[in-house]
Amino acid sequence: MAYAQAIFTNSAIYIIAAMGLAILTGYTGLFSLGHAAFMAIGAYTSAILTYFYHWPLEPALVAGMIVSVLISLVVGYPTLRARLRSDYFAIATLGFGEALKVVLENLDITQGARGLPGIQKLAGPFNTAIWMIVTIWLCRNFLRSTYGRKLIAIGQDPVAAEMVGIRLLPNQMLSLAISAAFSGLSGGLLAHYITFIQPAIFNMDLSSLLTAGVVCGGMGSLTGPFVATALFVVVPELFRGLALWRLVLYGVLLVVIMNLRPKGLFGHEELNLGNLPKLFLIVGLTVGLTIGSMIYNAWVADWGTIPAFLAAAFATLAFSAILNALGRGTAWMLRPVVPRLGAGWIRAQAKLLGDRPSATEPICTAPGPTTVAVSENPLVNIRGLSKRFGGVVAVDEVDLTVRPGQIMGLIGPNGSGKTTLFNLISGVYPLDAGSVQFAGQELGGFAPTQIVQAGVARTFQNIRLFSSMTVLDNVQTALHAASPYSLAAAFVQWPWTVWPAEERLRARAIALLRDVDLADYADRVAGTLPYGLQRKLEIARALALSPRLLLLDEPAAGMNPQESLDLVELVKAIHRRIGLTIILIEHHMDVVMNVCERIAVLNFGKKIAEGTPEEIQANPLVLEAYLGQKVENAALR
Amino acid sequence: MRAQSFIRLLVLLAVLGSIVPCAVPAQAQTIKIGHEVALTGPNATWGQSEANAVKMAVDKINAQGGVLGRKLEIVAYDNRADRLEAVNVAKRLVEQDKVVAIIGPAQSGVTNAIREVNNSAKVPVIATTATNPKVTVNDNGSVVPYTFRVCFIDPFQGTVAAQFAAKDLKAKTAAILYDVGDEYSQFLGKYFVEAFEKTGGKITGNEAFRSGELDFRAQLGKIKFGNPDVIFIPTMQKEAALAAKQARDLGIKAKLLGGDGWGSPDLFDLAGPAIEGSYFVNIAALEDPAIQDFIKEYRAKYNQDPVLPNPVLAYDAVLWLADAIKRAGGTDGEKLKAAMEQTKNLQVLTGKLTIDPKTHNPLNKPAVIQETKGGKFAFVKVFVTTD
Amino acid sequence: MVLQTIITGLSIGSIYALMAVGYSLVFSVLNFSNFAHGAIITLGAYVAWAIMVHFFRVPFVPALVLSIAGAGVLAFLNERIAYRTLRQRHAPSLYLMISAMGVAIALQNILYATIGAKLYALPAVFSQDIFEVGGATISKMDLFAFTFSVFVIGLLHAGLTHTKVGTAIRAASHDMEMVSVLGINLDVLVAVLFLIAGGLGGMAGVFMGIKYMVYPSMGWITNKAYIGAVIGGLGSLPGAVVGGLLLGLLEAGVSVTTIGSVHLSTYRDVFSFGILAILLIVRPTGLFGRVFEEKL
Repeated sequence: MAYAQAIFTNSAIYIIAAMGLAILTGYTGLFSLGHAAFMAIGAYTSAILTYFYHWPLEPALVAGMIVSVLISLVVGYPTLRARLRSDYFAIATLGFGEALKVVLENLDITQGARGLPGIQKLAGPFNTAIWMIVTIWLCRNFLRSTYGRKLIAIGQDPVAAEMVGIRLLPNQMLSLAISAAFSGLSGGLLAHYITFIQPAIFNMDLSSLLTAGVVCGGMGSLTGPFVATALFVVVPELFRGLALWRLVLYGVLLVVIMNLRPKGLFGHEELNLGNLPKLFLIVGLTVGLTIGSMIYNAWVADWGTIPAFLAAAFATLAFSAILNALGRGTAWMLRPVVPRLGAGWIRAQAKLLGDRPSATEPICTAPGPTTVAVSENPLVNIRGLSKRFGGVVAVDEVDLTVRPGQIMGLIGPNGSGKTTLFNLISGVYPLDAGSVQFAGQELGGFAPTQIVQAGVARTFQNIRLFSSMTVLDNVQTALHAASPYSLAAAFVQWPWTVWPAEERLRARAIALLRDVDLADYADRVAGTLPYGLQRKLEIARALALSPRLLLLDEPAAGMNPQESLDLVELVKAIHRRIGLTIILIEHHMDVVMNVCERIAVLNFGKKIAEGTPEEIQANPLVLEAYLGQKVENAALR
Repeated sequence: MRAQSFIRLLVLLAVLGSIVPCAVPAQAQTIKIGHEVALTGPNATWGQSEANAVKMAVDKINAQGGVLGRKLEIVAYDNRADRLEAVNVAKRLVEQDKVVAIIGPAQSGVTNAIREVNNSAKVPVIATTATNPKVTVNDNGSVVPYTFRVCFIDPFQGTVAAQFAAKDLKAKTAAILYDVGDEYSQFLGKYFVEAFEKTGGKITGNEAFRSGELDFRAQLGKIKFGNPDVIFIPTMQKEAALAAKQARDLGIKAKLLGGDGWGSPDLFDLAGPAIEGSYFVNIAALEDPAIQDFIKEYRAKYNQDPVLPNPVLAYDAVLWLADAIKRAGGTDGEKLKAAMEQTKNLQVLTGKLTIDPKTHNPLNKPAVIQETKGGKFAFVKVFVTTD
Repeated sequence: MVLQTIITGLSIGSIYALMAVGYSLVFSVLNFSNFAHGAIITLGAYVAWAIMVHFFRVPFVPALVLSIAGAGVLAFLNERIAYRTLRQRHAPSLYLMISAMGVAIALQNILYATIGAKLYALPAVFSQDIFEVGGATISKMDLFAFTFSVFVIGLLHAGLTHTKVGTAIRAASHDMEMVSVLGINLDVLVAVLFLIAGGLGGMAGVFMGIKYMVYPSMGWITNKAYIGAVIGGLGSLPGAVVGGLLLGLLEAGVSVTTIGSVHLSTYRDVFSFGILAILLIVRPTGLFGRVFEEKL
């Protein structure tokens, strides 16, 4: 019994750390190779406080978490600054883990490599279980809040996340801090359970266990890492003789899972009615293995190896099958009950608690049609814009002016610099020369998120959605600009502040989706949508930013004529409704000629022509640029 | 439905079947003794020898009728000399196997690690070669109630090394290179320095490295600069071999000196000719006349030489334990502890064992000096300290 | 003593540099951190042990060649099994990194579980010959390792700039897709890449085995190499060399410094990490690193 308690408590402790790491690696996509270090910080801090200064357990644990968070911020700042390069971060965590061990081995108060024996055994199965439940609850709440969605967006596509106004560095540091906090909590509990810690415990093997748990469980889920970590703690205990192979198994699993099933056990799903039988099967398999190994040990002496093994295997399979059936049965029974609880109920309460959100709320706060009167002051004024990549001049002294409310087309052969121009405007690339003025403000040198805040939104040539998030979440993430509630509230999901705020966000998002006819797909996973609808979703997401300028990069790419027509109607409708200024890159000449008031033509980075659609069609330079192609296809309006 | 109830029946049978063997009446109760030992890993050469010796001792005692009419049974688990693993092993021994005492571990750090487990369960531990004083005595001078040891302690070992260097090697200056990550190394180095300076010698270099580091050339370069007669390297055989090779690579001609951590035969494989003509302190040596019978027996049974000193000490530990159980009249933890503390003049392989009840350490243990000669360990002398 | 410290630093640094080059080579083309590099280095050392000590008594030069070849083949297999599918699927570099880490953990522990943690020494090839230079000593082994590494890296550089394959590799480091469009078989190119990187790793493993010893967790020394590569700038081969050497010199310097009674040598890893952190603040792309601008 005591032995079973020990296994349970160990699992709970590691699960707490795994939850934190799931947020960092699973959701935010930052690979950490030294997370045991944060457990070490929590362990030593709390142990020193209880051992030398006689603090009670809970404040000591919290202190451990705080120190862990602070150190993670110090480590995170330099290493996360190298944007978009997760390798630097991984290597840095590796170095940090080693450096921390050195410090712990040499400080007097930590008693060096000898470690701290004799810590009071203040952690047991009961209070550890409580901490684990609290951790899971907090993490789950966080992931459902605006802060959580921002992290998930970064994990899905950092570039798109920036284009939606999410600043990478502070959010990644937040993710690191949260994971450090929970790892610190886990370490503190570990110290007060095994009552002896030393630096060598917090080694690569421990970090590997946590990483393997998160990856095999499923990056993008909390249930997955929970189950996988528990398995990784429990199963080796059953097969003690194979202790060394346990680590080989972790390594092999990582390779196999990445190659064959990157989703891991639970992928992006949390526990729901659909995968309940799977969970039962896993539990059944584990219990079956336990019983099987007990049978084997008891019978092998009397019956010989093979019969004992067969009996054990049989018991294992039988248990797994039984529990799988049980799982299916339970899911079937719960089917009518569950939808009544959960999200639907919360939303109903939210409606009661907060103001009633209006379904006809205008989707954007941009000026309405009445102010679309094309004024003389240009909204966008680009002068002498240039960009080189090594020896290639991508954009060569381009001048471009767009008036408010105009739809400007940007065409040219492949490689003429159109997308590069967009990237320069939206701040993805730094300018080499020239200036980009937007509503009187110079945008050159701004960070992408600042440009988004100034009112510029864009879509991408090869659609950058947050593909594992739902359609609704994709749009909601763009609406978060200023989180309507605090981080603390996010963790606790305070019904009075958070529920109504989330309900408001949701309603606005639905309204936006309705504008592009996607409201029916709200709960579908974005990556499963047909291509044309994904494109519309990207536009809806861009509109959620309440932009004054919208950059559309080949929106009709890959669409058939019918879809292209729908798109044209959509763009026109948006423009009509809110008088949005639009710059449109396109190759489909029917779309361009149909929608744009003015067209600029680029070739080899230079602007070679600009004018109305008719002027462009007749322009010999343009025809030449398109390889002398006669403008018959462009005559299709 | 029929398939399901059929399956249910089979499962029921399987479960019942597994309970049956447990209901078989147990045989006459053995006395279970745990053994924490490193069967794999860098310390495996000592560990496996230890396990063999323990088995030898237990078999002998059982052949003579056991203890108090019951047979002794050894429950050994591999702790890989890893502290966390040792804690797991200790918990298993104490909670699941319900041993009455534990032989081992062999390392000071590891013995410290399991302290909480065996002390709260009142299960005595006899460390075999853990030489750091803090293993049995706390900082405030009180004794650790249920931890004992059967070897000498490092202050003694450091003194032996220092006096040997000063008197026999005629060294006036010395330097040390130690491992900060291992308290054995750290403290042995400290005791050497204190003792050497007491003989009037001068310490010209005091360098350290971190556990796991492989390259000490920077530190050795600095030591070379101070031109010592002798370099004391209180580490395990792996680091000693590396240090010896690198010292000779740097052209250092000083004599190298070490502690009982050097005593594994693979020292020669790892160091090659670099370690020739070096000396170290050990707890026992193959040539020691007192243990020749044991060595003959071991050779006959296992077809190889024991890797000293662990097997000898483990053997002594079993003898000590058996004697204590007899005097305690049973295996109750507190009575056993008291009996062990009262051990006086018990004849064991390495002489007569008398325990100091205040420190749980054996009194009057000898030390031997060995030399590395011709790819083998050569016995130099039994060293008697002066002070 | 300063000269001796410098020599020691260069000696350690040249091993770091050798490891860093293999790692950076893969990074520059495939844009991910091959964390399995350390395992390949370890296996190179074990291959040398197997043929020089355990099974046969192969003399040094052929053993070195065989180990380099063996490590190259192992690296090729590694790519085939753990990375190829991901690469063809254009999986994010995070997946490749995790797969690499899996290989590293698995290989190291397979060694623990099969051959065991026992330490082995490779035969002292150059016996104890040493040279005295201005009060400092260099061992023959060190001199050989250093010059041979310089030679091989020089050969690599020449190969990259003057052969067709080398040029293809350099082109691929800029734009993989373009290279395949030009008709070069990417699978073959990547295989050659890993053969080279693995060979370099195997060489480093043999040198390390001779200088120190052979044991399963040798690969963790590669962490220092990664830090060296980052300091020099990820993706830059000269950067890898400079970074590795600098790190070696820094470590040697730190190891002989004592402030009061505190041996800074034991804080070596703190210094390595500290330099890394400072460098990332001051110059995020490392000393010679390239600024990566993704095509969006």
